[in-house]
Amino acid sequence: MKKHLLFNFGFNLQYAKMLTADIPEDQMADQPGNIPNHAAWVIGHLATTLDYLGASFGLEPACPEKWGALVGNGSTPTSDRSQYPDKETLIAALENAHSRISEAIASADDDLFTSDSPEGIRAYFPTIGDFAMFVCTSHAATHLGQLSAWRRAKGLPSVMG
Amino acid sequence: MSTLTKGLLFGWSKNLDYGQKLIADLSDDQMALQPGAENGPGMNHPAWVFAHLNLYLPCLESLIKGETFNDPKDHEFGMQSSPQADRSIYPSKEQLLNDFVSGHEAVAAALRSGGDAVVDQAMTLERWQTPMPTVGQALPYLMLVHENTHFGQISAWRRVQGLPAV
Repeated sequence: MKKHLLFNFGFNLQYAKMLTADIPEDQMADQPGNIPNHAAWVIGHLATTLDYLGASFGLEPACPEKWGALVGNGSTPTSDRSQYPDKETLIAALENAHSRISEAIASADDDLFTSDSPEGIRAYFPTIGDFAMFVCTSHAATHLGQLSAWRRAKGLPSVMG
Repeated sequence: MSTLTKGLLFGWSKNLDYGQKLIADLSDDQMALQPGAENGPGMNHPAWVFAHLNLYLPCLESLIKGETFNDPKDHEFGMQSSPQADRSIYPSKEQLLNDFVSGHEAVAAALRSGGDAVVDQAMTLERWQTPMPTVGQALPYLMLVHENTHFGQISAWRRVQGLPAV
């Protein structure tokens, strides 16, 4: 599981960087067409979600605590650019989160993936393996797809060639 | 069953549910609305997304079974295609949903019956052999990353239409 999961997890990081590479700093919180999930929110949200996953692997959170209310689960994106960290900080946080989670997954015992997930999410994700697979693939990809559509709504081209 | 296969089937089941919810409240005509087309390439609308995703379902089934299949790249709904506002180009919503559900179920059945050895099979499509040499690398991408990326596009498309999150 590990190598196949990490292969696709790494793809998502590269895709995130491609999607944001040409976005000017002052447009990171634009909400074209009333699309709420803008680039600043998406990148911050992915980083904080990986912090949440990291707890299942014994990791302490790496993102600033205040990011929870700003870009965490249940937060509401706003078009006020000043509310969000700069792009470099956001991308660095996502890269750091990927690095930490990748190392944690690679070094984890196989039995951990069949262990019960944390009680608060167990009804939805029965095992840590289910949770990790979802966060590292489906969850990230869904938000990156939103960002892809956000780019089109702004008149920006596809980054997939 | 390996943790990888379990994780894939778990995410695949979630996607079957999520995909249907994303278009449940859309009329057939709404399926090809393309906001943003006036100032750029336009957003990928649900009719194109589902036609595109459905194209990959028999490919996935063949991949799991170790069979060869035609490269979907140049298909009219393949990765080279561009979403068109002409609704008549695409199957009806009912057909798209039926194909989506039956294709999803066929892939899940193939994966369940294929056993854990499936992931070690070599990639049968030559174009994918370099980026994804084994079926094990391709399945998380095709079943989860690729499908969810396009679902995210519909999610954002819904907001432009003034529709709520699902």
